[in-house]
Parts: sequence; C-alpha cells; structure tokens
Amino acid sequence: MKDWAFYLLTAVGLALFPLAIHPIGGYSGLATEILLLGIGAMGFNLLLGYAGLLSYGQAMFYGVGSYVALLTVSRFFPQVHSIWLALLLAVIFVGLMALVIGIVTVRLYGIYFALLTLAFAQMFYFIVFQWRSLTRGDDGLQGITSPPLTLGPWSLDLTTRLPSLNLGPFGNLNEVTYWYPFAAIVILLILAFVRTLISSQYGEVLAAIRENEERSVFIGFDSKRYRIAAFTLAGALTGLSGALYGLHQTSTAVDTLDVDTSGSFVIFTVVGGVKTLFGPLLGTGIIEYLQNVISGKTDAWRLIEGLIFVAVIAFMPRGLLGSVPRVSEFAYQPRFRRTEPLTEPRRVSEGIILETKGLSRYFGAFAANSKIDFSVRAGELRAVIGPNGAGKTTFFNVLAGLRAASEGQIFFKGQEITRMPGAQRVASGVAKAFQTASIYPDESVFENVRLAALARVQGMFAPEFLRRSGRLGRVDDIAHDALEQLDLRDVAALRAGSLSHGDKKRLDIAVALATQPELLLLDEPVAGMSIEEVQKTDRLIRALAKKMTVLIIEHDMDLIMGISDSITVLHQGKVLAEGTPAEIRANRLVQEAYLGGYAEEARGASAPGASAETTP
Amino acid sequence: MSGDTTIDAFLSQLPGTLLDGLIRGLAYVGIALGLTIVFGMLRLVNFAHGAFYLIGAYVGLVVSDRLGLVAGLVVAPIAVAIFAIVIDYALLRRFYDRNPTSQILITFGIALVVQEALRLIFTGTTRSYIVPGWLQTSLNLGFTQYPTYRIVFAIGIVILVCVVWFFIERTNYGLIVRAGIRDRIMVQLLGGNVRQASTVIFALGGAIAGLVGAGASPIYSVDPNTGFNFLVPSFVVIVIGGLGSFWGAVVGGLLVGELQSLTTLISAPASDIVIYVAMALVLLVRPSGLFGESEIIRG
Amino acid sequence: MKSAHPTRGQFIGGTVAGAAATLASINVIAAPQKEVVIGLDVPLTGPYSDQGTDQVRAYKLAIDEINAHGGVMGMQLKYTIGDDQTKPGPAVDNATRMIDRDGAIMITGGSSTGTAVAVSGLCQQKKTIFMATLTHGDETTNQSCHYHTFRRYNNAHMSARAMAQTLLSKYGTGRWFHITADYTWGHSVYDNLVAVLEPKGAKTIKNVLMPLGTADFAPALQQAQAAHPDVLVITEFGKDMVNALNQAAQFGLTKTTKILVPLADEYMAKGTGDNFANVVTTAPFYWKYYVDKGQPNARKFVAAFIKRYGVPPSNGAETAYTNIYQWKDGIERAGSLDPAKFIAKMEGYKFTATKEPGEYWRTWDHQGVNSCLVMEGVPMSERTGDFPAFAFAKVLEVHNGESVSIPQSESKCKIETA
Repeated sequence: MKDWAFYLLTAVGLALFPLAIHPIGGYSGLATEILLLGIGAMGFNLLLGYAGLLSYGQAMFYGVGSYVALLTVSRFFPQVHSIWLALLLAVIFVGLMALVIGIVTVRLYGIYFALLTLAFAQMFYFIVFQWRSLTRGDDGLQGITSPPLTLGPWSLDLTTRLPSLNLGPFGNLNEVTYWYPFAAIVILLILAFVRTLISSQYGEVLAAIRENEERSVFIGFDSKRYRIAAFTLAGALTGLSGALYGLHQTSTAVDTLDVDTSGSFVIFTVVGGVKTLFGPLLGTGIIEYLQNVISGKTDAWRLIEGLIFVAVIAFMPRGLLGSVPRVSEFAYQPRFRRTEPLTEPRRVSEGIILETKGLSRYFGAFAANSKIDFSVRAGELRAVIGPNGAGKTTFFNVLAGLRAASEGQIFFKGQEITRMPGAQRVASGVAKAFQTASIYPDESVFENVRLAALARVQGMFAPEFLRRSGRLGRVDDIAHDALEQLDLRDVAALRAGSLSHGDKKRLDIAVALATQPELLLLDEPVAGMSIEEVQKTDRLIRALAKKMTVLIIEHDMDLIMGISDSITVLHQGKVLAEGTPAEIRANRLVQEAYLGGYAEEARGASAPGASAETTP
Repeated sequence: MSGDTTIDAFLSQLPGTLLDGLIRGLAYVGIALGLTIVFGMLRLVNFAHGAFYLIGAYVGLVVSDRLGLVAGLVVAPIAVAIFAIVIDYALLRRFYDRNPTSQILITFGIALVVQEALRLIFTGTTRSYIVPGWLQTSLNLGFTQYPTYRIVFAIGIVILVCVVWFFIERTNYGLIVRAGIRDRIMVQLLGGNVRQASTVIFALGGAIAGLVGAGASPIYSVDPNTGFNFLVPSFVVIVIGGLGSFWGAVVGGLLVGELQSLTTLISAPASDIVIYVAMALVLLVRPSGLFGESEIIRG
Repeated sequence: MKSAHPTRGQFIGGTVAGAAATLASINVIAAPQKEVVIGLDVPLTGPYSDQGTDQVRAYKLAIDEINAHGGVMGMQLKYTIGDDQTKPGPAVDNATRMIDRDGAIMITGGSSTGTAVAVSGLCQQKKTIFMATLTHGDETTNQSCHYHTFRRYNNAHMSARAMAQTLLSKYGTGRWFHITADYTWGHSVYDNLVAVLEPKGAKTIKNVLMPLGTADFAPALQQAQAAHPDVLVITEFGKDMVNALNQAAQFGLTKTTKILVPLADEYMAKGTGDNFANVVTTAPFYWKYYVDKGQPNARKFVAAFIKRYGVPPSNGAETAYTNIYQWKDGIERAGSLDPAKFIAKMEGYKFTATKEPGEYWRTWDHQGVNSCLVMEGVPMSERTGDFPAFAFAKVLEVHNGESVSIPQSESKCKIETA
C-alpha cells in the first residue's frame, strides 16, 4: 500500500479510536493509555518479533523511564517548563542503559537470555525500591503535573480538554484532553519509524539473522551487534513509553519495575501478533480493556486474559493480527540488469594463502583434529579427503570460525586469524558452503544471494535504520553475478525452501560466492546429487578454481581425482598423506585407511561421467 | 540501633544459619528437580513448573484437611501427574520441537490460567496446613531449637532425590528415556515408545513438583501467587547448577539455600536480590552452570 | 431572529446560532441530578484481595442502606468498582477512570499504603475527595497528606505507641527483637516502637529487615531464638505475617516469647489459626468487643453484615462502612457536593460511629482520631460464639486516639489550602 494512504488511514483510525470505543465501555483516557503503553509493546515487538529475542525484563526500561521523566520535572529541572526535556532525558538515559545491558546480555540465547534480563530487571527494582531518598521507595511519586508541550513560542497544557461536542453514544468530545492527539501523533511517528526500520537495510539483515543466524554470520554479518542495536532501540522505546505514561498519569511507583509489568509486555505483543505492525497495539488494547472495563464486572478478568493468551499461542502462534494472511515483506522482484559477469573486485593473492600450524580441536577428551600442519597456495584447488570421522568437516569449521581451535594457529594471507570471529573471517575473504545447505528458506533464491552480497558491500554492521538496501546498486550486481555463475537464474524468484536438494546446495555455494571470497571452503558440494548435477557442479567448481582458492571436502573420488590440484588425506584427526591425485591414488597408507578394495576403483576411475561412488 | 552484633554473635548464629540454609536448600532442590529433569530429558523449558507446585499444594491442602497429611502427600502428586498428562496431550505435544521461546510462552500462559483459576476457587486467602501434633514440635539440637517438621521434610527430600536418581539411572525405563531423548529416531526404530516416555517424564517432573508443593506448604503456606513466587527461584537454581543436570539441581539448590540464609544473617534486605545477582553472574561467566553441558548458548 | 422578514444572511446566521445554542445548552441545562457516583478502588486480586473483598461487602451494605433511606441529599448513590491489584499503577488508573469517565465525585478504598498515597495524590490533582480506607502507614496523613484526603484508619504511629504503652509495664525494661518488613510501613512502625520503648529502658537487640514477599523467615527466626528476647516483634502484614507467625510457632517461639504483631485483621488471624494465641496486636475496630460492649451502632452494623454475608466484618470493613456514612453526613451538612464545602464541614467534626463517642476528623492532617485497641489472641479452645474463626482476640486496653496520635509539632504534614 502506498505510504501516504497508509498514514492517512492510520491517522483517521487513531482520530476515531477514543470515541469509537465508547459504546463498549471505553473512554478517551483508556485510549490514551493504550497508545502510550502500546509504544512499549512495539518496542518489545522489535525484540521478540523481529530480532527473535524474548526479554523478560522490559519493566526495567519502562519503570526507569517513568522515574527519570517525573524526577526531571519535579526534582532535577523543575524550572524548565517543557515536556521535551523530561522525555529526552528519559529516552537518552534508558537508551544508554539498554545499550550497556544489551552488550552484556545478547551473547546468550533463549531461556538464558530471558533469565538474564529478568535478573537485571529485579536488580533495578531493588535499586529503585531501596534508594528512598531519590525515589521515595514504595511510596512512589505523585502529583507531578506534566509541563506543557512547547513548540517555539506556543505552549499547550496537555490536560486541556477539547471543545465540547456531544456525539451521542460516542460520548462528548470534551472528555478528550490534548494528551490523546499528542499520543496519537507520537504513535504515528513511531509506527512510521518501525515500518521504515523493518524494511530498511538494518531490518533486512535483522530478519535474516532471525531466520538463519548461522548462515548470516557466515556471510559476514556481526549478528551480535545487530541484536544489541535491536535491544537498545527496544529499550529506548519502552523507556519513552514509561516516561509518557508516567507524565500522563502524573505519578509512578515501584510496580512499574516488577515482573508483572515485564510479563504484560509479553502478553500484549503475543496476543496482538508478533512481527506485525499493529499487533502490539491491538494486544495492548484488548488486555487494557480487560483490565479497565471488564475488571469492574468480574474478578475472573485475569483468568480470561490467561485463556486468551494460551488460546492465541496454541492456535494462532502469530497472534491475532499475524494470522491474517499477508504477503511476505521481502517479495522482491529481481531486475536483471547485467548479463556479463563482473571482473574481480578482490585482489588475488599470491603465495601461501592459508596455513595452519599444529591445529587441534578437542571435544572433551576426543581429538577431532590433532596437530594439523596444513598450507595451501593461492589459486590451488585442494581436496581434503578421508574416511568418515577423519575430522574433515571439523577442520573446515575451525578454519571458517564455526568452532574455536583448541590448540595451534591459523594464518590467512599471512595474518593470524586463530581467534578472529567468523563474520570477520568472511569479511577478510574466507567463505564456507555448508555440508547441509544453510539457506534462508522463506526468501527467494535471489534474496538469499543478495544478502551475502549485501554483507560484502556494507560490512559486518551498518546502522542503516532508515535507508533501504535497494539503493546500493552494487549489491544487486554481485548477486546477479553469483547466480549466473551457479546457473540459478531460472529459479531466482522461487522460494528457496522449495528448491530441490541439489539446487539448494548450489544455492548455498552461490551464497558463499556472493561474499566475493578469496578462499572458498566447499563441504561435500555434490553429496546426494544426481549424475547430471554432479557434472554441472564439476564444471562449476573448475570455473571457480580459476578465480580463487578452493578447498573441497568430498567423497566422490572421480570428482576429486579429476579436478584437484592436490589432495590432503586426513585420518583420525591427523594428516595422513598429501600430494597430487596420482600420488594419493598409489599411496598404500591411504588405501588401508579406506576399508575394502577401494584402491582398485580409485585406479580405474578417471573421466568425469563415470559412475560416482561414494564411500559408505 | 543497639545490639550485640559482634563477631561472637555472628559465629554463634552460624551453625543455625547453615542448618537453615541446608533445609531451605533442600526445599529448593525438591522444587527445582522436576524442572531440570524435564529440561534435560525433553529440552522443554517449563514455565508452568510453579503451577505444578501450586496445584500440588492446594490438592494437598484439600485432602489433608479431611484425611490427614499423609493422604495429602499421596494424592497431590497423582493429581498433578494427571493434570500434566492432560496438558501434554491437549497442548504441549506440538511444542516439544519448537524453539524455546514458544515453549516459555505457552507454559507461561498455562501457569497464568492455573493461578487465576485457583484464585477463583480458593480466593486469595493464605492457607496453611494442618500438621499432625507430633510434627508441630521442635527438636533441641543444642545450638538451636529446630522445627521437627522441617527436618522431616528435609529427610523426605533426600529420599525423593534418591528415588528419582534410582529411577533414571538404574531402571530399564529410565534407560529408554535417557536414550530416547538423545536420539529419538533410533529408539523408535528399536521399538521404544518415545512419545510415551516423553509424557511420562513430563508427568514425573510435575508429580515431583506437586509432591514438594504439598510437603512444603505446612512451612511456607500457600496462596495463588505462590506458584510464580517459587518459579523464578527454581530457575535460579537450575541455571546455577546447569540446566538439565540432575546433580546441578542438587548442588545448585543447596548453594542457593545457603547463600540466602547467610545473606539474611549479614544483610537481610539483600536476601531476595542476592539470588538474582548470583544467577546473573553465572549467566555472564559460565552460562552452562556448574554441571551443565556447554551447548551453543553463546553467540 | 430579529425582524419578521430576515435576510438570507440573517436567516442562516440565525439558524447556525440557534443550532449552536441548542448544542451548547444540552450541557448547560443539565437535567436535575438524580444520582451521584462514587468510586470503589480496592484490591480484588493480589496479596490483599481478602481485605478488598470485605471492604466491598461493607461498601455495598452502606450504599444500599443509604439508598433505602432516600440517598444522599435526595440523590441515589451509585458506585463503580475497580480492581487495583494491590498495586499503585492500576489504583491510579482506576481512580482516573472513575473520576473522568464514570463521574465519581468521591473515591474510597485502598490496600497498601503505597496504593493509598498514589490515589491520594491523584485525587488532590483532580480535586476529588478521597476517603482512604485500608492504609496504616503514617504517610497518608503525614508526609503525603493532602487537602482532599481523609483517613480514618489507625496509623503506624498510633498502633506502635498504643502497643508499646500497654506492654511497657510488663516488658518495659526487657529485651526486644524485631523482624520488620523492609518497606516504608515496616520502618515507620519500628521507628515509632523504638521511640517509645528505648527511653523507658527497653533494649533493642536487633532489627532484621526482611524483603516483602519473603516466604521463609527461618533465618530471622533463628537469630531471634538465639537472642532469647523477652519480646519478639513481627512487623509484617498479610501473607508475610501469616508465614512469619506460623513459622515462629514451629520454632517454638510462640511458647517461649511474647510476640507482637503491630496490625492484624480477622483474615490474617484465620491464616494463623491457633498460633495467634497470646499474640499482642492492635486494630482500630474489633467486632466482638463493641458488640459485647453494647455499642448500638456497632451492633446494628455487625448484625446487618452477618445477616447479609454470613460472617462478621473485618476491621477494614468497618472503616469502609463508616467512611461512606461520614462522607454522606458531611455532604449533607455542607448542603453541597462541592469538595471545599465538604472539607470545611469535616475538619474538626466530632461524631459517634461504631466505636467510642467523640471521635473526630483532625483539621491539620485529616486523620480520623479514634481509639486504638490493643488486643491479645485467644486460643481456639477458649473462643466462644457463632464465629470462632473471627473471634480471635480479647481486648487488653483501649487507647484514646488523641493520646497516641502524632502531635502537629512532630508531623511533616503540610496540608494544602485547596
């Protein structure tokens, strides 16, 4: 829908809202409260819906926001007669708070993350409760008149009522104070912000991280920084919510920091619909309605709230609004502009591009890789083979940064990268295609590759909250190029999850390729492929090997023998042999390592197209 | 404020405080045990664990009012197990393989519904149990006069821990369960009924919580908020001990109990917050806890 | 409309003016008021839900009685209820709604003091009367006193002084151990107790501050036990008190030590059963005492309450009941719904409700000055009458309100002038 239409409709809806709820027992004060609380819910939705983080501690941001705002008015700067200062201080303080806490907490996931945020929230509760000289403890702050809204020379007392106009069953307009239009405008701005954020460059990467974090890291996105940014934004929004609510209510108390408050944001957002724009507002509206209107009629209102919550999660996991069928936000129509492949944007290295010294990786007492000395020259196509359990995939994982080395060192282009995080290695030029294709199943094939290209162009983290990635033309070009090289143009618009197994593997390689690596790690690229697919991939790998260094793990001996410049054989975590394909074929130790008569077949196989046999 | 808060006073109160921490720690062990088993065996984060405790406490209350404490201790875990099985079939089945977030949410919702339903039935009044007369006494232990019931309760927890350990480690059924969770498909191929085993484990975790709820309520009394009040400390315990680890729950529970007890001696207002600080430290420094497996829980 | 043949402009102008006047007049010419609305802001869920529910019973009883006798100044009394969940945030939200949407001209209720203080602040802003019911902390009529707020319930100062004075004779120079809830109420009770006791020679061994919501008081009780005090003061309320006292009994402390619980009501006593025997407490009202004494209003009230609800009223319920009647009375004396006129008539007003004659509303802090009962728990076996669960105590001493209330020189209350 066109932007202007969207905002117009929303504005009209907001204008009618406080009056429309009258016949069901609502009133404008409730409408204002719903909007102000809804800001916090929208912040929480950023965390849960878009970043995939369940925080059980939002109350600390909400509560601290309200206290900072009210203390600014009553104690810190009572002489300033403008609401903006209180709001500004609240948002900045809470934003910083969220940044610091975010840095510390986002390395954890799932229940661990939830519990850590809960622990921090409890600590802030304790601090606010005990710091009586500042906060009055459990007596809270009351009777703090909100300063007026100032705009240049104009000043508006927000508690002023609108002019009287009787609207029958919809009440009288004069029950609405200027708080409501103010809240409505704020919500509109925040809706605009969130909407922009979601489809911004930042939002796109955040969604990718949520969909497949591992892949996102290994195309070069620093997932931690993205989550910290989300946490900070969510915290700041929640702090704003608390500040506005407190100023509107003219009071605040310690209950704004308790576990129940954190829980209510969860309930609001989940009921309304995570990952939707209006869901949090809807959920807030429903629950607040229950709390304020239904609670006067029955004290079973909390039970009703719980039942709605359970029903929604069990039967409508995307929330009430999320269950409405929607078009994917990333339905991107690829525009094919270039037809010739790009020239090399990366400098081609010479000499030894990758080297390991004494590299080991232990899992407990088991040594998956043991003191491996390994080196590859730039431009080589090196195969790494060995029986199952030899440690090949582990070796690749350690090289790529998926697993940390237990001992030893890794050097890439002369620089030690042993401790370098995975995303940074990708940025330096090491890319990996996974054994089990790791893609974004809900995105189009083109979008999959485009994300990798985006990582290449923007770097590990880019705080582009407002701009779309579409403006970066080079990204599309790189993506097209990768698709071209992997012969995936025909399926570019298809949903990646619907591809055949073989196509998914090629897509995985295309994704790795789009990061424009100098060193490409291919982990069993033809496993499970049909004969034609193997042939296709064979040609493709040869083409790639002309432009970059390729390391390949494979069991398909025909393929390996045919295309490799040299082969490293691993056995039981150690290097068993190294040499040209011919040397390896003749090597007795290698033959013994592979059980049962394999040597004959290795000698007999030569041309690509002969039946490829994979070892058991 | 005057007072004899000298080093002597501190040391003289130390044995009593440590005993206290031990008993409270054992209570935490009992409360956390079911939670860690369910997580360790089913990979299910159960925010409804407190609700199991709560149901056990109320069922125990109703039954022991009429038929005595022992009857209450027998009926409560059975009632909770039945409830757990029903919930499992009706709702939780489809959440086993979902992400932890969904699991937290659905179990949190169930806990909310249980709490409010019980509030409507029993009102918000704090209920206490009727304990047989001989248990209402206190034993002279030299350094302190300690309530008999607490000691009996503590012994009961120790027995419970042993029984559960035996079941998991030494019986065939426990073996199937342990294997099944590691590799479902394999066990199914070998003829084991993993579905059934999952339900049994879930019901077991609930029954343990219910039993402890009924057993602990003569000490802590019960009202609708008790479920959530005990839920968070349970998580603190298993985080410190290591999620999914049996011995982690045991050691973690004892540690948290002693920590709280000692804090009350040194600075009582902090006795609540100290467990959150401990949990936060563990999560920051070593999220897998003392005995947990270090899965990929870090970024 | 001016002339018989108006010009078109005049005609249109006149019509518009007429329409506007009609619209405006809808508000100006108000129909004669047939009813007046009050708001009940009480805890129906949360830790004090028992107390809230009982308050509502009393409110309804009073309201129905008043309406049956012609209402307030001839207007029927209507009420609207809000559940404050025992939290300040919802309490303020409710009060705001009741005033803005439902047109409540008086708010009553309260659960914890934090809640009452929050609502009091709001009512002051909205220039609405707040008849605080269940709030014991000093602040409501001290640091946080307000022009529009009246509080009849005893406060911490009164209870602590009353209790201390009653026990002075026997335990005055003894050793006292305190377990105190770590929030404002707990602190004010403790400070007041110590202020009376220590000058008289009582020794305070230790004050263990327990966080709100503590389930296990064992470590504190162990310390108490080890100290061998003469008196153990458990300054806890609601569920925390029930737990603390029951656990104290399990530790044998109820038998070896005199225990004080500064404030208790019938529901808390029910939770502790026989463990409340010999425990000393205070309350502003005790149904059995005033019924046995033959106080006529008390008898009528208690009888009506029992008839309608099957149980006797808790002390919070009595305050609720009296609050409604006092408000009605004040309105009628003022002859107006105007808060300022009402307040003028209330300040200094002496009356007899269900307690001793001569209780009054103090002018400078709006505290209801009335008696504070010091009571002692009675064992179950010795309880008589139809409601043994509610007949939990006997009155040791009745303290005159003035003698235990805070003097103005010591109070921080600075009531606004409007």
